[in-house]
Amino acid sequence: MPELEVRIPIQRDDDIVAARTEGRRLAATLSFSPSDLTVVATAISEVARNILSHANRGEVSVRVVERGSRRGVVVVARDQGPGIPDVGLAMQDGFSTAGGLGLGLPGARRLMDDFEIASEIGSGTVVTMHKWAR
Amino acid sequence: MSTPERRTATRRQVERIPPTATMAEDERGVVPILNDGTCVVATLPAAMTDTMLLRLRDDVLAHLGPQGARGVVLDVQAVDVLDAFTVRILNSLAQMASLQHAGVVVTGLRADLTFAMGRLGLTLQGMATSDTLAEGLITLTERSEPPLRAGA
Repeated sequence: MPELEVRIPIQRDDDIVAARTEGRRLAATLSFSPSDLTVVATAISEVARNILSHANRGEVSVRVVERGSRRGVVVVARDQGPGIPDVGLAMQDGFSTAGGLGLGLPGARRLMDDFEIASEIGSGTVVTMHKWAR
Repeated sequence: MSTPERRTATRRQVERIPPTATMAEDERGVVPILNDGTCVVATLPAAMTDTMLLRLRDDVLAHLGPQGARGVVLDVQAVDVLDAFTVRILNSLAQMASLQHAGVVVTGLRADLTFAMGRLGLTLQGMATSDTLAEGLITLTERSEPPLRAGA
């Protein structure tokens, strides 16, 4: 039976690399183009780094999903960090509290087919995003 | 030369060999840099951590300066991802290198990397791009004519 899910704990910067490497490997079992595999890996990198920058630790999971005749991957990035006070603001290009370009989360949204973020102060943040194979 | 010293010398030579996607375990964490006196060349590995990237920036800059190399080639052919953080650090490397009158050329930028960068709205700033390492070195040579030595 083919592997259908990978889960990568995020605690150190090499976990960012592990998450995007494992995620790409799983996505490569579907019919993604080389560009779309890099797009998925890049989006995973952005959400994994977001965990490290803002919550110190968390987890990224990548799962194969089906919707009708389509197959794709869902990436879930989960942390129990401080939460995001203003999600709308955090999703704006150029908004950063970590000293970066502020392109991480909005960038991941642009890379994937859909993107949802749920955050609660004091309990953490969950980002859920899909990419469908062509 | 005593045996331990000889071992150290051999080790240094080994570190100058460009990395491959499967670097030996004990070489992880440092990207080897080639320096021929004029140009420095670094081949970015497939899986590069933020720490490795920051170290690479420092190491490349240490080769530049008045008595140092005049150009930098960064080969990204093997890298898996150029995300916002990576591009930000590469851009800052290019900016710092330009303060030392050193040009930076990025080589081996694959179509899938540029596609993802385009979707992210990322651009490489202050550096040229070339398809191959050889073309990148030519680009740097053309850029540094006439030589940029201060007072020349």
